[in-house]
Amino acid sequence: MILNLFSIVFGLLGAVFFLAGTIGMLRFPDVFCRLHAQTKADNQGLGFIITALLLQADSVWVALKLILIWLVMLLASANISYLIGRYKLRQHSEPE
Amino acid sequence: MTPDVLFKYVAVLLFVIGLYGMLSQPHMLRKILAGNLMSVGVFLFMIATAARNASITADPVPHAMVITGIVVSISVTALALMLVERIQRSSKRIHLYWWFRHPHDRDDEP
Amino acid sequence: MGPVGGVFDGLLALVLLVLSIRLLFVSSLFHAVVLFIALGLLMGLTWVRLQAPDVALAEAAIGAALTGVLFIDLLYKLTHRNNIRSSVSERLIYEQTMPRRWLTACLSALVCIALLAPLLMVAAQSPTTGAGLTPAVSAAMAATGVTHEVTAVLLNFRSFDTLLELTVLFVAVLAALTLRVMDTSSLPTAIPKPPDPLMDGLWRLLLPLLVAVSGYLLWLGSFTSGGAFQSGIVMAATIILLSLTGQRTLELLPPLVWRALLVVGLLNFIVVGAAMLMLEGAFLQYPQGWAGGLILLLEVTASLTIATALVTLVLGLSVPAMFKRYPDPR
Repeated sequence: MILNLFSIVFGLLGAVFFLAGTIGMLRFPDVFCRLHAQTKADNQGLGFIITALLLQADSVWVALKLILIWLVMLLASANISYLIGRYKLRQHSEPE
Repeated sequence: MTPDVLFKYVAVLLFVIGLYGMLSQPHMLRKILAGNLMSVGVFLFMIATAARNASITADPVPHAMVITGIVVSISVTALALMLVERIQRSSKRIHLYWWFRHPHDRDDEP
Repeated sequence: MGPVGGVFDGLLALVLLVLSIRLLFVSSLFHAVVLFIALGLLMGLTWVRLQAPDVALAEAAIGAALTGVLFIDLLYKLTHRNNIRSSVSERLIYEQTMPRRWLTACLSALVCIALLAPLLMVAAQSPTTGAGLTPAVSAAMAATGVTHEVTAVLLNFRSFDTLLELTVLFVAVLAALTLRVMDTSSLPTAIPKPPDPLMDGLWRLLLPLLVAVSGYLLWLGSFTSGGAFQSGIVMAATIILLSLTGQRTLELLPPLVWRALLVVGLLNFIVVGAAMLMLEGAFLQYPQGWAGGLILLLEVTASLTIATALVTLVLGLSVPAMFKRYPDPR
């Protein structure tokens, strides 16, 4: 019962972060600001949702898989943000 | 409305939207996108039909067919895109309007 | 699921339709491609909602990864040709062909509306109850050698479909190679500069994991969602990602090995099928007790071939080194 309550709270927190990240993606003026908003959603929002799901996991294996998903997402998100940011920066510094 | 009925109608609409794009868009890349929309519509119809009985597990036969279909569809898309590249390279065209000659079109180049 | 599930499904359906219309009419082709990738991801969600996790796995890897790479790569090439104006400027084509385009649009709309009515009627009249083939499949599961229904259908009940699908893939690769042989001039490609330290570090962490995931999916196929297709697609996506970040992948293989990988799945299917024809009297009819092992063998080779063929198809235009053994016939 108390576990379900915590799950709901963490899930909602995650949803709030995703909502904020999405609004940022849509409303921020340039690529760098949008990246900033996007990483909030990816890292923090997904972290909360994974926490919510962890509390509902049936076995240790499911829990480990969930944590692995979050770690891979962190890794991918950080690298992709770096790549997009670098591309944009180069475009700024050396116009064709 | 249960999900399977809802998505059956969505599938029909996706198919028709794709068909419209296929017929009306001049750019070949858009035609390929539209063709992919049509195939997504067909897949969605099959999977929605498979899920019609909520009390038992969904019908695995359409699932297997759609998985096969997805792989075939990506092969067709890849080949179509290569052909587009080829047509553009040899005729400098990116549309299929035989009656239309763009000022920049050149047919004389190999 | 209750009302929340219903609202979610309704929103999902709405977003799917809006995306599909937007991607046909948005003015920039790049936007259209990005919208198509988003559509692919949402389709993955839709498959889960319709209790088709196997399809969702395949769609996530193909719709999100491979299709996107294909379209963006071609778009990049078309925009970086010298003759930019005639290659991608849709607006110019639109403007120059206005009167006839109106006619085309009206005629297409007429055809589509005429077709919409009967199709909607079909959707309305298609069965909404009944069990389909589920009971038949469940009843025959004991003899299939696997415990997952979709795998049983793919590699036992309807293994002929899978054989034909591998044939289609093979023919597509052959056609792609033929197109490639016809022009060996160098193309601009979307492949970036030499790898940088960050990507190297990422690969050191990610590559073993992705290979493990691919093998895990293959193993899962015999008793739950997963299997040769999903495994092959994940492998293909991994290799394509490696190539796109500037690593050498397929070029490292000797051409003979690469060609062997391209045909091994198809060949294995034909050999097993023919052997069964001689032993059991029917094509691909597995003998009692042997089904599990034969399916595993077919799955491993099919997965290898699917991975190699998809990589060749997707990177076919981007990796000239792969084709250096083929001289220009002209």
